[in-house]
Amino acid sequence: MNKLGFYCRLYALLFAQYVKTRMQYRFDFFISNLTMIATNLAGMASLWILMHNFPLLAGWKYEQLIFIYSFSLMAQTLLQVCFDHIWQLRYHLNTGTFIKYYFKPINSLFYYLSEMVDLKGIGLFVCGAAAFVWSSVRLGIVWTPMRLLALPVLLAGSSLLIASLLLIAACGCFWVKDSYSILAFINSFRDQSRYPMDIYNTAFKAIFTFILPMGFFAFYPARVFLEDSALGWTAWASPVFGAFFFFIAVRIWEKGTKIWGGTGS
Amino acid sequence: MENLIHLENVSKHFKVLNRREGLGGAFLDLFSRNYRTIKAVDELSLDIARGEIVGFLGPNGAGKSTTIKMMTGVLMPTAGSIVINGMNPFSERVKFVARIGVVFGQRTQLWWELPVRESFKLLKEIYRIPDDVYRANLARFEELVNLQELYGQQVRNLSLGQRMLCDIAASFLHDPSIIFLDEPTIGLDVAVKAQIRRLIRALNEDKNTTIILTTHDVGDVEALCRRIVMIDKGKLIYDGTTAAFGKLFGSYRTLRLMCREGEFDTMDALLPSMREKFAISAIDTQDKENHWYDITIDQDHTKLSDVLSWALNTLPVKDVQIQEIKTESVIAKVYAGGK
Amino acid sequence: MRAYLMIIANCIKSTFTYRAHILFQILTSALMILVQFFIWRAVFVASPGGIEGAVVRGMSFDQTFLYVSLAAALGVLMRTWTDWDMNGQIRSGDIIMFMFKPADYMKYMFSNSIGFMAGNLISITIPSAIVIFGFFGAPLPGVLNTLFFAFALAGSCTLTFLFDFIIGTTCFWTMSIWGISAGKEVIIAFLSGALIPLGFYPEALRSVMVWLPFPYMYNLPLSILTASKANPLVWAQGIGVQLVWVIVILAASRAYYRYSLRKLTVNGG
Repeated sequence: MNKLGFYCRLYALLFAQYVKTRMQYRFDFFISNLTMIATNLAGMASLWILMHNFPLLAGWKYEQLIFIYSFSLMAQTLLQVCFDHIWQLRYHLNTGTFIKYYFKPINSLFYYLSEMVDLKGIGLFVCGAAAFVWSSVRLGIVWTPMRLLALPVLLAGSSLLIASLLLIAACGCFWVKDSYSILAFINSFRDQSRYPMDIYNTAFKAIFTFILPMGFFAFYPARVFLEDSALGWTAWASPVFGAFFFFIAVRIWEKGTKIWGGTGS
Repeated sequence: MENLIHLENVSKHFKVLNRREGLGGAFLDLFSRNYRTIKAVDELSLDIARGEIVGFLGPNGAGKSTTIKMMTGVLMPTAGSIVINGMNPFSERVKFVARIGVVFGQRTQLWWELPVRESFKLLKEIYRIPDDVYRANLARFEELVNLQELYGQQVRNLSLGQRMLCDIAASFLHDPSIIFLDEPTIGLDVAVKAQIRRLIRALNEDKNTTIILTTHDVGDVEALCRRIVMIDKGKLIYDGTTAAFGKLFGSYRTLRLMCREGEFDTMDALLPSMREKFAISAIDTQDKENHWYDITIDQDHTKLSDVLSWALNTLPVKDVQIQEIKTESVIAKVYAGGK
Repeated sequence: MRAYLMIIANCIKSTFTYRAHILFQILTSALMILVQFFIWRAVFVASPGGIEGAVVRGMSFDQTFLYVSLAAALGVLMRTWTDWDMNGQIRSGDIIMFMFKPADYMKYMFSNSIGFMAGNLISITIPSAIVIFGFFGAPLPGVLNTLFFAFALAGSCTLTFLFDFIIGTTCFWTMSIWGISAGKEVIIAFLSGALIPLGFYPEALRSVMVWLPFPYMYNLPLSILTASKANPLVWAQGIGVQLVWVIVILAASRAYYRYSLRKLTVNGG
């Protein structure tokens, strides 16, 4: 527990420092957040246009789709803000600069991730939260204490799941020279996760539930709040999946650091 | 005194894919992989005591960096054992690393975008340095190199020399028992090099820190290292004091002859006959624009005075210099296998 | 002759290593198309007439999905990473070579872009297009269609390049263009009818959008290609508007580039 406290304190310090530094680049901050918001507004507008022509998408109406979409945005915030450094992993490994992460008495994954904080995530979260509130009001969702407790847990589970899957994809660089295309491929699931799983046929529904669990990025956890009927196992599975894949990701990272020998001799 | 660093018969083997030639070969490579083993480090044994400053020398690709990486816990040895500070660096990495410091010449261990002061504060947190130790160490750094002038600047805005000073100071901050310095003076001007060497020496004396210095800079070796370890082709080829090292080729002298204007052809024509008469180690014409010919002689085999008198009589010589062999040339000779 | 064989051999050797790379790129596009397929299927199945007979805003499922697939193929064709190339050149300082002749730099990047697109066309787009048309059993476009399509495509490629160039120029101002580049893709896709055929957009929005260059980047060439009836006058008009936009955006991007350059050198960046 002492260890957890140590890491939390350390991360808070590092995070505060980075936010201070990044805020100095004011143009960057505004442009990237503005673009992030505009991008997601375009996404929501696309949904609106689709639903303008068709009453339902696999039984779901527009406000519900926005609810699911906004959940996915909020779930991606952790990845965006705290895990952004994974995109640089291949550079660090190929140039040898990665070696510095071995030399401090802190967990190397923690050290690596803590080096980069992406403030675009703020725009992402604001968009998501705003749309979430809007849609939940429009849908007349009743926020019982039970639901209010479930929301952060489910969000955390999804966040961890998305972040872990991308981390695993990035770790490919420890073994293969350039696993960028794998990372980009897994990344594309973020955008595709905003649609209800009911659109798929049995085969793909199974694939996206069990093999690459995109369904748990947003749909299954969000559905908990949209339907009052019996929910089945998918309701509580996303935190389980999240924890499980995070555990796997950390293991893969450690194996990768033990195998990577640095460049040169 | 118990040895702080103990390497015993350490080896590191790498499996490298033998790439077959040709198109058919590339195709075959997909199905059956054929590996060969490279012995980057071959049964190396080494002991270093507390407080020593040891220079690690060796040509590039010689296994020097691989050895350092094994000593710092980055790589696991294929065979042999490494015990440093009573720990196995690889398997006990986090605990081990808390007691060492590492400085890489080209890359900083500090936080690039943060002011120096904040980097130091973060290090205090990470290494759990007590307040009094922290303050005392900072005071000492300020005393030695006026570190306080750099506190407010972002690490990215420092010059290479300033950054190096900060990195070295930072590595001593948590009072480690061993510090690994990799090319600390590379790319720096003479004045800054001197400053850095003074800093390292002072802190080593203060805290009796063992220092492993990897360098290609002879000045570093001469200024700091009492002991030299040389690694080539994965093996330890020299382990002894710097003084003895210099004397390895102490019998060698370089006789410099300045050729008279316009008589190069004569000189060139006559030199082979000098080689026939005397056992000459090497004839160097690097400084030809200034008309100098460098003739290296091993005094154990040839008398310098004999060569000199012959040269003055036979060759078109305008001026003469006699030089001791430089440490650099010694290093080059050892690399070339002339031990 | 032997030399050429060796070159070909080397190319093939290196493609073995790039195989996985290409595979995942294909998978990424395939995933996107797959999801689009299921979305459109879901909405048409629920519409009166079902998936075979439903016609919404004048389009059947087959027509809609054909359009969406071709749009995706077009997107892949025109993705030449010009903005990222510029980012790399600006960050590394290589751009100094071009700095004093902005027109030359643009020409250089443009020819790079065209070369890349030509490569894409041959290796990815044409095979994909044949597969797509085959999948739907749709009739291949007629000669007139293809001719006008070629012109419209040229206009689209040029406009795409110009927008990439503008994003690339923004590298002078900002540390990272990640968000902006991705945002550009999404926003242009939305405003050009790349994901959803223009016919589905509400009238009010459509009437505003036709005043923007974006519909002419995707909707125009695609509607020419898939049109069952030849309509050369309307098409020529569309291409004419494209040309006007090319001139306008060209001037704007050149001015932006020069301005950014001036600002940069004044600040001694």
